[in-house]
Amino acid sequence: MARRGAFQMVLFAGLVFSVAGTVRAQGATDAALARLEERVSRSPNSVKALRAVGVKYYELKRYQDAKTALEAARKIDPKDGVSALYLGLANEGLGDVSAAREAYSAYLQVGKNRSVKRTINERLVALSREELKLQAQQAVANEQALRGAQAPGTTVAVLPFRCACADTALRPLERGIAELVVSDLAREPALTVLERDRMQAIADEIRLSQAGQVDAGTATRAGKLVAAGRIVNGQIVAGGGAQLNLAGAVVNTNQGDIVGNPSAQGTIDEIFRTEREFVLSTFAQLGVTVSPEVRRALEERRAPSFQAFLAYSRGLMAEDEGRLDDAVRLFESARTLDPGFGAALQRAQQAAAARSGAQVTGATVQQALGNSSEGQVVQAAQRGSTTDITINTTLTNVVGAVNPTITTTVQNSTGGTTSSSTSPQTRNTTAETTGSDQPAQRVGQLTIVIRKP
Amino acid sequence: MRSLPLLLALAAAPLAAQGPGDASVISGPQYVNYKIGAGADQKTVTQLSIPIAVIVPLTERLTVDVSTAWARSDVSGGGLGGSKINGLTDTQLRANLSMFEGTAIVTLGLNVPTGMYKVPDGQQEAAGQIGSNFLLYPISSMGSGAALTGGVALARSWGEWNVGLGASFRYSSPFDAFQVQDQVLRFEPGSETRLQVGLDRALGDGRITLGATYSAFADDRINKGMPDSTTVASGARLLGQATIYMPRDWGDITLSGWNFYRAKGRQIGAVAPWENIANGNLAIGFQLGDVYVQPSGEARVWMRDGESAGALGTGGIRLRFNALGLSVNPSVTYSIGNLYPANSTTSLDLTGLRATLLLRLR
Repeated sequence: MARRGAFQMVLFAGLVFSVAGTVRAQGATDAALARLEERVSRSPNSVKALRAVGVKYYELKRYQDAKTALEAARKIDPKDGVSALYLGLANEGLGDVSAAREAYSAYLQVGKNRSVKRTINERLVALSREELKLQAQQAVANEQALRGAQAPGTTVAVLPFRCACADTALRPLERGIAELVVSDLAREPALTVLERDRMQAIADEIRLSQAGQVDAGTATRAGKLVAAGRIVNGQIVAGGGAQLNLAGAVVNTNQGDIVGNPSAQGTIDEIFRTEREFVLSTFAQLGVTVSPEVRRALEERRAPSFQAFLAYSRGLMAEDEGRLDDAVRLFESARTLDPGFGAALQRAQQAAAARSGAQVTGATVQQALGNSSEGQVVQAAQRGSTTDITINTTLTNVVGAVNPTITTTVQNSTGGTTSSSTSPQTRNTTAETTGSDQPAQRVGQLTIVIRKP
Repeated sequence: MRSLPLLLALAAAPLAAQGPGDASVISGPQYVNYKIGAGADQKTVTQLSIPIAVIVPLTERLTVDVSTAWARSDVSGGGLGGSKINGLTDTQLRANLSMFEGTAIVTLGLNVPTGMYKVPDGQQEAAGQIGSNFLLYPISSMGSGAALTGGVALARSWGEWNVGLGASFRYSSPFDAFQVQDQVLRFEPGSETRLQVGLDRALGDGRITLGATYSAFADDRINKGMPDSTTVASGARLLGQATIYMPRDWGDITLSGWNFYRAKGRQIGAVAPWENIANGNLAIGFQLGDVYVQPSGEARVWMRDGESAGALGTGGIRLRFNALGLSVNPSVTYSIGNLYPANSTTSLDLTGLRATLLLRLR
């Protein structure tokens, strides 16, 4: 019974300490914020004060307050990296992906910490994916306003191809062929070709809100949503056997009618030649005269192996569906199947960055900041101080040198290296006087001469 | 004994709950053993020390720390009968007052003579050996009488650099230093003036820190006011320090060095020659699961009066991990080197073992 009582007492004590600790931490946080707010009210144009209070607001999840303070800091000093970084985080907290991207991009320009820059670069890749999705949602939400808008005929978008294939294993080619067509059409300087990822986001969004076939009307709608004057709507036809044909329609989104039907025929083994023919046919339907340089570039383009391209296409599909682990694996597999397949390597790196970037949070950014000068600014702000913590460290070092104690020695040992000892800080007065501090003296001897009075 | 970790954890909580004054307690028991020479003449110096420091931020601006240590030092062999000294060292109280928004600190220190400052005959060898500037025992003095230190430190940013300046003055009162049979030697350490310049700045993701400390001493007086009164002089000291810390994706690299110069002075009945000790250290740290691992290598060279007085190479490893609310830093190093007795060209072998268990309770 006595043991049980003691155990309950220990549990109770633990609970009391835990509650006391929480209350104390809350009190310290309130006091830190109050100090910083008071500092801002005294010096409303102090970048240090605005930055510190912004960081503190972010820590307290008061994102709008953080944004206001950090924008003010950035207005005064656009070169302040910590303000840009935390403005990005605050904007993310508010769900404003575009503003977050802008602030992060500013940090890449003015920030000092390489590790954080690497983290932010990864975050930007992840954000660009989120941004495409958000833009697509916004475009669909504002569709009414776009109805009468006219887009230039030289702005072209390519919808994901549809695969009318007997072998379902070829279905991922829908993404791969669309990607190839986009990059080949973009060789022609007269055209502005929208990225496949952007068009895919719109296609996904339309499919989410309205199921059905991609007919001319749907293509026109998609074109309006991305402000493209022409839409290329393609189909892969592989009815079994070796034959693989590409067929499509070029839709004028301003008029809502089909202006041409590019097509090309071939076999699976000739898929890249077939795709090139399809692109040349599309140029013709778009009314673009292909320059000799573009034609030569298309002809000289290196074609990857079919298996590598299929793996690459599967990677694109996985990436579109947000399965980034699979995407990285498939792009790497494509690269393994065809080591010269540069696009696969690029996509693998991009997907890996997006995967890492998706994990980035305020905590990981702070971890990356570590004890760097920017990290110490953040730590100071969290403690409610606007003084650069590095100054604190400088002062502490000076105090330790001019007034050293055992505390200094022990503290240095805790934070320092395995150095077998710290440097000589104090003297042993009496040993120095007698020379008994010499380690190689074989015999230590002290003689006191007492003169007779 | 099984409840010790729990008791430690519970003891930590009240310390951590002192409002803005987050107290911390640091202790680092350390064992050092040096073997000098070989065979029958081999001398062994051992020290076991248990320092303890309590740091209490009383207010946001005022921090007080109190530190002391218990140490036991033994000297054996080397043709001596053996010498031992053990007990509490002096207790050091220090108050640091932060001013001007954290850009200046006024520091006051009081050395309370709780240590073994009056050393009896059989303990003098041990009390002296631990004062070596080359071997650097964790506790270099068992006691030195009452003393008062006052100083000021200033710091400000200058472009990318932080610049720190500091100055202090230490007054030491007389104390009975040695006791030989029933006679004592009264010793009054000379006042010490210290100046310090510190510089640091970001270096990529890391930091570079530089520092120079100059100390000058008034003459030490022995048996002042007595017929056999005499004075000795400790040479001025200059200590230069540099550290470069470089974080990497896989861990970090710390490159540090210091150089200690002591000018010529006067001992009892002899000249204390100038000496210079240079030390370099390279440590590479990385995380292995929850444990931070830091192997290191160190080299130290000692010159005395223009002649080589010794050299020391050290390899070691330090770990850092958290357990039961404690930051635990065990480390072990092993040293090999040599020493030259004064006015001798024959060196003595030197080996050393050092084990530390630093604990920080916060």
